[in-house]
Amino acid sequence: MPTGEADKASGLKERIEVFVDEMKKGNSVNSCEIAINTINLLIRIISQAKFTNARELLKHVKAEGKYLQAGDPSENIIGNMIRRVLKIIREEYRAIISQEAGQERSVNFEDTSLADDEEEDYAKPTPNLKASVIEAISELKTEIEGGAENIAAMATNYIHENDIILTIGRSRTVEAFFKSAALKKIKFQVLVSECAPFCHGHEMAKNLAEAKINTTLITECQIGTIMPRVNKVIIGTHSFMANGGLKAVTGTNILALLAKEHNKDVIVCSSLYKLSPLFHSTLKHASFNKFASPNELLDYEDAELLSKVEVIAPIFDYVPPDLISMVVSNNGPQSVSYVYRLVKDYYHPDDTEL
Amino acid sequence: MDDEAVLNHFNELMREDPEMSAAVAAITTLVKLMESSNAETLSGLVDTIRKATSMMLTTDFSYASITSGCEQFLRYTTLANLQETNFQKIMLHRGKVFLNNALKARAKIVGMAQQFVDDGTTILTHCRSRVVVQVLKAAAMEKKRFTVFITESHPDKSGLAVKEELSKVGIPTTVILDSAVGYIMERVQMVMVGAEGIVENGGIINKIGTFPLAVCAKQMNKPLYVVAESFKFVRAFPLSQRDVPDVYKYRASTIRAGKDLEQEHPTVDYTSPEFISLMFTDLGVLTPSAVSDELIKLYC
Repeated sequence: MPTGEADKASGLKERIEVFVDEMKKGNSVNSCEIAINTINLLIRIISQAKFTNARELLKHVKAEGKYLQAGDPSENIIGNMIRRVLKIIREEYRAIISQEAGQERSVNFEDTSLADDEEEDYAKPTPNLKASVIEAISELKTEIEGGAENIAAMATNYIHENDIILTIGRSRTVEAFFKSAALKKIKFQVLVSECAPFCHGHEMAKNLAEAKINTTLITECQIGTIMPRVNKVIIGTHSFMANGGLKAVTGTNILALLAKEHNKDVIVCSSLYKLSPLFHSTLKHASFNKFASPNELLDYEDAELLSKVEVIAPIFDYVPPDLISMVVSNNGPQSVSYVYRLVKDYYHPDDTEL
Repeated sequence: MDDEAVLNHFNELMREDPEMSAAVAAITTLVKLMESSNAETLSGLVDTIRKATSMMLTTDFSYASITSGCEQFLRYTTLANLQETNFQKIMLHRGKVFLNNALKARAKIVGMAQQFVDDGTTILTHCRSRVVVQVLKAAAMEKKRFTVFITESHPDKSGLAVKEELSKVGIPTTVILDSAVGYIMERVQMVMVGAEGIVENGGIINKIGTFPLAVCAKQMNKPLYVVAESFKFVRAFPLSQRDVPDVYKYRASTIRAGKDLEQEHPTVDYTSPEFISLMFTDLGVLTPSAVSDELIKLYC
């Protein structure tokens, strides 16, 4: 019915606007929610899209995706989800085409770098594309929602009796990780660095203490003194870059450097939907980092000082890959040097530029 | 096509287009050879190609590039379902596909690598790598403003030619002494070099002087980026400078002249993967650990 469709279309537009607005305002919801919201929007966009072949669908999703990302260019998760969906569309298209062709490719040597991908223009009409794409995206959604649980299940491999573990700020994945180990009756101690100026660490410490974990809250300045007594460092991250580096809360780089200095392992607990195909050097600072209001560091009441001093409050840090020992992900433990393989699996090189 | 014709064609190509990589010229020559060959068996054709390759290796052009290019070409063309009656056509077709991709490789790399050149960066580079020069030119066309330091690159002083080329497109370039690399390192943000060959563990073989440059960059925490086409992936695994075979290090004419190699200056050195941050190839932007994976796929 024509009016119903127009309603649906405007309803979708509204949702997109609300999403982009929320991102612009920086009402930070956690990464998992952002990912799920993006995916839900993309599912709607795809179900309402009109297209005759995969190429048009790709173009449409890319254009909408670009608009979604523009709400907050530093939020990689949005871009990651868009690119995952684009890759899903490409894969489903190929699956349908090869099923229709019904035969194995005649050449034995399947070199993906040289062969048919170049000639693939995704232009053949495929009737069932929409349905299979949406199904695959729903699978992706389930994978994301279950991520923290899968990681928490591996906690006992990495947390041992009487361990002293250092962490920074608040990460839901790491919190679940610790709680899972505590539930299995392992006695360990956690030192939480408060992560000034936003002090998310306070909430983390409170939650861990409520789970009956021996928790101590420290400031960043104390990390250096406490590091020799620590067994290992377990942190979460905002996202991963394609070279294996991290984009994490401010303070993580210093933490990692100190850990390296004292030869302590740095374990990152994070789901793989946070892996981005971008390199941090290709992102201009405007899209790598976000800046908080200087009010966090210096009160507006000190207005006199403010006029003479430049106050910068970045939200993210870049941690180079050689400071990280390993990543515990929803697919199991990974080494950072393996990240390139995952990027190749999850994303298509043509989608890097949205 | 006999040996002399092969050599003439190869040398002709290298002379006509100085921008062409030795490997691409070699592959083009091999395709021409296949077109005019009347070998009746598969092994006959393979033998012809091998002979032609060894002829081209007697020239003074980069041994590493020619070997890797020709070896990969041979592998790609012969690794197919070949019927005895039809093999020439299939091999020729695959050969042309390979050549096509080799020709497009540089453009792909330039597209990727020039994104890493930001406004206001200072770049240090070494010797005349055609790919690096093209990357810098492409970045300049994107209206990015950056400065370049280039080493003189003894003994052939190819750095001076680079300065001329870059100055023509308006990139402020300064030539520095090879020994001034340590001095200048604190002023640069990144180091970018090409490669004559990429070895199995992700290390590179490049003009002599690359290794000390890499060590210095690592020490001063500057990223080292390598730009090279995928046909430069070589099946070699040197663990030290000594392990690099003499044929890579010295020109063919030097070895032929029977000179005492201990007294000759090597033309290339080996840089191990721990010094390299990223590699830009037509297979994508790779970390050195990704190289062995890609190599396996290429050489199967």
